[in-house]
Amino acid sequence: MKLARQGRLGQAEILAGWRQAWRQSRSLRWGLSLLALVLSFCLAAALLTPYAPDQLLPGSRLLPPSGEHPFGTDTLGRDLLSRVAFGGGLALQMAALGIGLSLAAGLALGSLAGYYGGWVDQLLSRLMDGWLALPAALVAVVIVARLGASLDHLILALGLMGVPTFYRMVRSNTLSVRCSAYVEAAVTLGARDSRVMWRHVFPNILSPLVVLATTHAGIALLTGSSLSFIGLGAQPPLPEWGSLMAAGRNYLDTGWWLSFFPGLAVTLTVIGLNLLGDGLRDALDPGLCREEALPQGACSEPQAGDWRASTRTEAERSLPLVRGEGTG
Amino acid sequence: MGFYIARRLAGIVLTMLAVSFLVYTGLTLAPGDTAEALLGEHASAEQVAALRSRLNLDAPLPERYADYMAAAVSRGDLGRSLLSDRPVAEVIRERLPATLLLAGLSVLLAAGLGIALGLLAAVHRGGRLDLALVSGTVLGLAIPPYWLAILFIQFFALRLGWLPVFGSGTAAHLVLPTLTLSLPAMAVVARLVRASVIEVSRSDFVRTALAKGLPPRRVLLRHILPNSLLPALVVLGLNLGHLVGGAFVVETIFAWPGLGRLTVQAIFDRDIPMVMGSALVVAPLCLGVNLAVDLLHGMLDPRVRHGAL
Amino acid sequence: MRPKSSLPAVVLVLSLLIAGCAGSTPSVTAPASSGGGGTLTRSMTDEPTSLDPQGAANSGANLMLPYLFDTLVTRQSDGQYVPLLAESWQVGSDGKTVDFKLRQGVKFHDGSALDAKAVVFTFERFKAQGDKSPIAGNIKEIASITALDESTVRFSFAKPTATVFSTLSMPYAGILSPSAVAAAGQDVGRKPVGTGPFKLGDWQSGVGVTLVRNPDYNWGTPEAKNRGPVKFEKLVFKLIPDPSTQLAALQSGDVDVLFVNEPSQLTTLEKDNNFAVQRVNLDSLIYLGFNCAKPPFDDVKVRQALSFAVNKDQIVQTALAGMGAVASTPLTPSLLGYNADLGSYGQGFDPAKAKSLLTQAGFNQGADGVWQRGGQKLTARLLTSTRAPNDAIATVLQSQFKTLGVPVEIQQLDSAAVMKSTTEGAFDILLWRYEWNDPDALNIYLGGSRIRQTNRVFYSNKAVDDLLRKGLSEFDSAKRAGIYQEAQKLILADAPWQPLYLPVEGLVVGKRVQGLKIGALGRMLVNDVTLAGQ
Repeated sequence: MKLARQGRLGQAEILAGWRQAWRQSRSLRWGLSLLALVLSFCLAAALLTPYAPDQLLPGSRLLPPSGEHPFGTDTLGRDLLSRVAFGGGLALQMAALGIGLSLAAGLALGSLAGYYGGWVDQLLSRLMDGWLALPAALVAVVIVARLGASLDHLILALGLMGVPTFYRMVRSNTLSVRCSAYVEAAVTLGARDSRVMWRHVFPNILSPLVVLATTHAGIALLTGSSLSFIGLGAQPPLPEWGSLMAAGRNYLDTGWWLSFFPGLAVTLTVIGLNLLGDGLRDALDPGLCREEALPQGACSEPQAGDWRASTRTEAERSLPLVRGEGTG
Repeated sequence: MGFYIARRLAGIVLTMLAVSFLVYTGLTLAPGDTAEALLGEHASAEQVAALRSRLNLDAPLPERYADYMAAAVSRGDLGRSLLSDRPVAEVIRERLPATLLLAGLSVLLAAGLGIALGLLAAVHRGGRLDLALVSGTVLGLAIPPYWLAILFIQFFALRLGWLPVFGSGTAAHLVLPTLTLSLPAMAVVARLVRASVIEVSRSDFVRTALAKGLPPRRVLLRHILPNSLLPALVVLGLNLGHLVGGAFVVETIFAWPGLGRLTVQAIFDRDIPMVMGSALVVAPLCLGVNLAVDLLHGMLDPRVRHGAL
Repeated sequence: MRPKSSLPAVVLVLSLLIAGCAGSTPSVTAPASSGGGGTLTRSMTDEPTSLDPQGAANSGANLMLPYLFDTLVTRQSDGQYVPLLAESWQVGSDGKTVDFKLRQGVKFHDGSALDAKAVVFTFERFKAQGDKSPIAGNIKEIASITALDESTVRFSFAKPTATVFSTLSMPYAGILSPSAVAAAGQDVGRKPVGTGPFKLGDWQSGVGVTLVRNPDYNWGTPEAKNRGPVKFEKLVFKLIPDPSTQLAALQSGDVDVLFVNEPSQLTTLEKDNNFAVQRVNLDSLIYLGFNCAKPPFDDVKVRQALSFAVNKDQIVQTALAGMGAVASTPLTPSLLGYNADLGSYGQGFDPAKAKSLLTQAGFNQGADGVWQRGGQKLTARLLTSTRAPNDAIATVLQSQFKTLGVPVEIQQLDSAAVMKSTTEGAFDILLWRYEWNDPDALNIYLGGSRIRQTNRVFYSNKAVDDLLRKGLSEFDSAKRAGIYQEAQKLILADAPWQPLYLPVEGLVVGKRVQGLKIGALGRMLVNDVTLAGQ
């Protein structure tokens, strides 16, 4: 299904489109199922487990997986299943809030730059380039050291680190919509900027944004777990997946389960998010990766690198991994 | 074209100013200063004060930043490490070859295998091999890199004893870090190549070529593949830039003497000249590679004409 | 799932490919030594910032300095000060001067001879530019250093200073070769020249440091049987930042020696015939400090109450799995004035007493079980560094305080940020450690004159300060010990610190290494080491 770039579709059409996407896209089916599986597992385990995630069980140090403790216990004798399950909630929070922040800031700045162009665009774009070229650990260290280490501040750091990715995407898409004939016409007819933005620009960049947000959520999770590697993550005793893995990495021979189950949880979740992103792309925006979607003979002067925006979307998927690396 | 390059270079200079200012202020804002990080546990207040004034940490921020940048720009002097007193440029020069080697090799591996696997998957699209490869790329993108690195050490170095656990110096030392670093990029490249090979093979000129009776193998390698590599090129370029300064986890786990680890340690030590020096070397490299990729892209892809840019 | 099954195969093929292309046969377990005495290898977490003993120290420098430099006196693991470069010494009758008679025939690595001039040069340089050193404060207390003759040096002080021996035995007080310092210019940190049992061989930035035996060495510490040159050729320090890699490097034979503090790993290693495991008591104390300047912790009853709620046995058992000994006094066992019986002046585990003290301090327990006073809940922020096992200890403490009815939030920061926060007083409770070689530690960490500096808990008690001042000037060991015992009684009652435990670590040594000993402050003595198969 292809959402028309101009105008709006009726609700029935949208629903039909989704049904078709579900049938056609294997990625969408797998991604949603996997995420649903991980989430429902975490929810069920968190509700059913008799152990609190921070409950110290005397004499239960480093027990291997068993019927009593399906994921084993950690070095303080806490039930790992319960910790991984509660960690799922934290992961959800981290991904959702981090992405929300990146998205909000990226949307605001990107649409500003794309819509008005000129020096606003120049200034913001250079700033974002610089932001992306910064050692990612620096961003995290500064935020965490300045505000104190906590999950909230980790989320803040993740959110800020993701801003340039969303900025670029929103900016280039806004630019292409802004330069399209019908928006030109609307502007010429005297429509106010805010109305043009709201009625014409936002609906058209919504689809690519949803796709990007989904795939970026996986990246945020991985980056967050890398930040935990250098001790900038959630504070004990919060069972954040990344810090669980980091704590377990010294125990591969004497307690393999310590890093295995959280690692599996992260991996499955990120796979789910990536597949979902692929599926959404198939469903929402088949034109996303095509150059034709970009304006030819632009009305205002497009900025260098616009043509790259589409490939970028895919490229950034590997990039922030590397960025996560940098922090890790 | 010349005008375009000049404008991009000017953009890089602006960006560098932004980077350097952000790094400098960022480090200054982080609590804990170098004098305290240096002196550690046993410092008296006079000691901290004396060292702070000797390191000129008391001067106002804009003044210190301006001083540093003036020296860096006019004389290429990146200053001396506040910790070791060694010239920052010298320390970076020691680390750069190992860093470039690892980053370059990782990108090459990601390119070679990524393209090969992507092509393979595209040729067999819909088949079992395609499914396996696509699933593999999805997994490659989802595994936390440091977990993978530790698993590699356990399996290939300890269990099998094929490869060294850590360190640098021989080709064997490169295998595990390279593999860990290149996997995510390899996965992305494979996906991109697969997608664009499929897309290009549906285009008219391919149909024409096949209709003319050219052997399919020749069409694939001579016509389809070259036209499918551009997106992968962009990814690889971006990766190269970022691996130079950002491979901290892998460098730490494999004890690889690279720039990433150096930079993160310097951040923890609040060693401002060291971090600045590293940023001033890594960031232009990143931005320069991006520019090079853009130019290359422009040359290869007729749809991107610099006249229009 | 399919991806799970296909990936390992792909990875395997890839790595084979690369290994094949690289055209080399990796030899993982090849002995790291060549002929001529062999190589002893150990890992280090941090690279030395500088090997100038008077420069900035970090854990890497601390590891290496004792092998490169000798000090005038040295401290044995039993706490005794014994001769090293000084043959003998004489404390002046007023306690304000100490004369050191230097050993004859000692040569620096560059061939120049050790004499009084070199010692004077070393400490004058220290006073002039050693402001990055951890002992800069102690060195500044030396009023003057003079050469009385070729081989006698006089240290003069404004007031009697009993810490002179502990200061001079620190690795930072190693004697430098004046000619080598002149030749090195700004590069002393990369070209260290001392009189130690090893010379600097090769220093590869980011990789490691190789020390080479000093064949002329024959002035070793009396603590070792062999006082001559060491019996192997090279001492290599490999930089391995990640602890999981360090363990893997030990198991692969790349590293001969490693400190391990995880009992499950020690058990595995003990069963392995390739290693000998020995448990070593480290000379440091992990303690809980209360911010004595910040309400409600400025109230001694609140500090005592929280201290009574701490179950140290549970900490040692749960957080450390037995790798520690419960501590009850502010001084560590190797320090003068240590007396385990003083623990009775402090706070053992007694939840009932904790509750009654809180009640006395005007608190009552709310419906949610949390203590409060005037509508204000009693909560605390527990500050510590990211260093292991602080997270585990903090977590156990948090659960113990929760049981009492005091919610605690844990805050882990990197060390620089912790130190900044404490000097600014931005914390409630601090989980921290110290390691020092003189009972003057009490003055450094709890003396009223050191508040906002090394006294991180804002504790001040005039009676304690007076005692500590007296202790600093008392040269008679028995009297000095008595003074510090009195001070500890007062400190324990005031409860600025709750001493938690003394860490124990497992020293794991490859079987080919014989004769390794651990000296004062966890330092590895290699003078008697022989390597099998050499």
